[in-house]
Amino acid sequence: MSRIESVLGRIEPHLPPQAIVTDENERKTYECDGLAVHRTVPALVVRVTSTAEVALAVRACHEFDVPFVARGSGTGLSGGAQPHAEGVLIVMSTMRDILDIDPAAQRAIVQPGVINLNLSNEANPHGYYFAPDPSSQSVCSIGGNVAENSGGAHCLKYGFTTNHVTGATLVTAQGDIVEIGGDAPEYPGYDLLGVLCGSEGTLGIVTEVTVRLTRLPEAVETLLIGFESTDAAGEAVSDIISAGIMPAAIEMMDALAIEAAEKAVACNYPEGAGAVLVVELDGPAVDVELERETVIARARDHGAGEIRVAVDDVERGLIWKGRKSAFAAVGRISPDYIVQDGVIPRSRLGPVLASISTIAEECGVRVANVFHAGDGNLHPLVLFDGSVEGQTDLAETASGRILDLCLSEGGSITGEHGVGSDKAKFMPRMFTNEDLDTMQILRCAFDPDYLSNPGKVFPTPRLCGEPPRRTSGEHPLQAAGKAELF
Amino acid sequence: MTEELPRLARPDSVEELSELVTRAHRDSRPIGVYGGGTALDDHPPGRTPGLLIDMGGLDEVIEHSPGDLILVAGAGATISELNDVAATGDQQLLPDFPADRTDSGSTLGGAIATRAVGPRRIGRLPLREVVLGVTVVLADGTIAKAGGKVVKNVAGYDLAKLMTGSWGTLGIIASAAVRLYPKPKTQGYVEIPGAEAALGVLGSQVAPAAVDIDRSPGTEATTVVMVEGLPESVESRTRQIIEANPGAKAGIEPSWWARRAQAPVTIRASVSPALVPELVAQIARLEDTIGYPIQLRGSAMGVFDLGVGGLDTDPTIATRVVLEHLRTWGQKQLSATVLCAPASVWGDVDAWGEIPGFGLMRTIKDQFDPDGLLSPGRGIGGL
Repeated sequence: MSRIESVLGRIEPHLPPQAIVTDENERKTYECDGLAVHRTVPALVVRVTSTAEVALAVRACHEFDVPFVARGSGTGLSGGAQPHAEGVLIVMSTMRDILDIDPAAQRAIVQPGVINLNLSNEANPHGYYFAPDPSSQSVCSIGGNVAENSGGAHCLKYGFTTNHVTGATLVTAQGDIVEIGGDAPEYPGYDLLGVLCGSEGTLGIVTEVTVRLTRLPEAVETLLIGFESTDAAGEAVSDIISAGIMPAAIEMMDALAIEAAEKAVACNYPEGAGAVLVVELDGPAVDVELERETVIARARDHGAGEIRVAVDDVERGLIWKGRKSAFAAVGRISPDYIVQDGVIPRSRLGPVLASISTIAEECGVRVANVFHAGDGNLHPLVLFDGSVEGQTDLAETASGRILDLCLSEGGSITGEHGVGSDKAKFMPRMFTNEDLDTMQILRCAFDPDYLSNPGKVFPTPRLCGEPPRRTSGEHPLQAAGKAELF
Repeated sequence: MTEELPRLARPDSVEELSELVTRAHRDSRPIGVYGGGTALDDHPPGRTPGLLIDMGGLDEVIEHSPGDLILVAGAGATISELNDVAATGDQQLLPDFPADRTDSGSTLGGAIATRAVGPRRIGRLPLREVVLGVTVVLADGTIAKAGGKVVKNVAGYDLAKLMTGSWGTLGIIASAAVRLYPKPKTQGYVEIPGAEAALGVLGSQVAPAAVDIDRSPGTEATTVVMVEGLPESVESRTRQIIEANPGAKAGIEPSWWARRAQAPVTIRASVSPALVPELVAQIARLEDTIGYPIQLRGSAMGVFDLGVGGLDTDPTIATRVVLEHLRTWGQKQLSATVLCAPASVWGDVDAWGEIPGFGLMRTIKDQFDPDGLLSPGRGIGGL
């Protein structure tokens, strides 16, 4: 009997038939997440509906030494939920109940499959919302947000998912159920929630999340400002920040990204602009009004063309539609594209954009730029035609060179999309072996058998168990061909 | 190396720090870390170190970039020096720190290791969210960094968060990158009698930077709201708070602001914000019942320091009663632990209670420091 059959035999008696997917065609529908270039058909798919079912599946995996991967809505852009060919894919999107909304406590308890925007929609009538707002918020799950420590346009002011989680139920890689944190804002001891958020499913599976709800602001103003060039727009951003304003969001799009968005959603952005800024201010009405005047003045200092202030939610929605649909929109102007996710110190925006266009020219590809200008998180979209021989390689070269550029400026290889399977190979460019080894000490505490989403984040697994200096002979993982020594 | 390892050392670089730790590790000597010495009375004293490391030599400002809202500095730099540096760009450190510790020379590394926090935990992001990256020296002397110096970064595990609040038990913080914040032009304070109004203010749209509650033994509680920003805005929001709350009046920064009450024992109680008014009432009733004074001070977000006992009595019994009563009352929505106490009290009370996830914490400690040499006994639950 294969190991997968052993797992199946263990869990089947305890689960309803529809929870288990063995049919190959149906398994194939789970072969990738939002990063479709990496595809693997999982050996078995389990659709779970409770913490107990997750624990059951994970315990069986642990017993028979089978890797498992948790999947939420599958919208991740780094292959974090890419299945394991010999492993179990645990589908969390069937756990989608909002268990409690408590406005007085500013808390909600949700199952991990709950869609991000649904929580805000449910909390809105109470005057609250869930602040993390990735562009995929209408489809992505909160469990996925926790795994990736998702950001979004508004995290400059409100912080990432990690700042909005106060408690979680974790099923460990051994299948134990552990409660971490709770309703209170502070619990003693090591910050387990802090490391779980953004661990990309490699430290176990979160099956219930207590989140902090944020008070809806009294006023929101959304401005769309056209500039002649990305340089001018970038300087305006610097001036706005140094004027002491902390906008809820500042987003920038360049001419090519504007063209794509216009074709896709007819967002009616200023015609002929070399760049647009979307600036959102929120807070007490009096602050927002004062800040709006400052933003407009600083934008004019840098030759702003059209400045449009959304008069109502419809117009605000249209401005955001252009920005939030930008990734998909480039599909209108190019058959294929790679979404990149680098970070630079914000003040280096001008030179970095110039270097990106040099890279694009040298590689013979086009690059559209969409980014969170407030925090230096760039999303260059490398456009290419995969049907033309050699173009895919050129696009990948350009994409890799852009990451190297971010690192040479003291930045990061990922601001919000995560490392996943896509960028594991870039980790050694950002971190030393000692750095990576240290991170994996933590992994050894949570997942010593290397079963929880293996192969993601780190290019090479660390051997757990005995500390290195006491190791003698071959490690079982090494013998099993699952790991290599450093 | 023939020279004997000293008992006290003050390294000037991360390499020197690493060398010292490597040697202490080889000799199996427990290591203590000294920053500004402002939290020495907090947490149990732990084992006497065989090597005490004074971090004062690692006080360099490594990078300050106002345009990027970041500051990178050695762990030994003091919070007040760093705020002075940030002020040159009309900015300040984003998290709020306890004023009494800052005044006494609290350092960046110490503030991070002890997860120090001031009243403005509502309007500002918490410390754990704004430590962008750290360089640490591990128990065996390995130098490792995590995170970076950009405000947004999800590459790899966030070990900076793991180190935040670890009390030096997982690694020694050598330097850190933190986020800065535009310095608010002005602040305004409103005083409201009682604690009942606190939740209303927290849930209002005046965007308070802080809502703190202070209650001295035998008296009514007072809620103080702080708003900050542009003068016109502060004035308007202050007025709104006064109009919405009967008895409220404009005030100035109270003398106790961001300072811990002096008492033999301090208990840190953290509760769901919804339970805050009830917690304040519980404390008043408890004080009447047991006859020991209890000072309450903290944020309406749900984190309070309770000063227990008078200066001339043994606080052990009072501490035990307060801890047990709160834990029974608050159940899972509350955590109550001893923050500061005389040596005699630590052994005689259940200082930590049930810590969610403690088994995992124990495993993490064993993985990072298998020989138990880093600040042994300084962490929670004996870690």
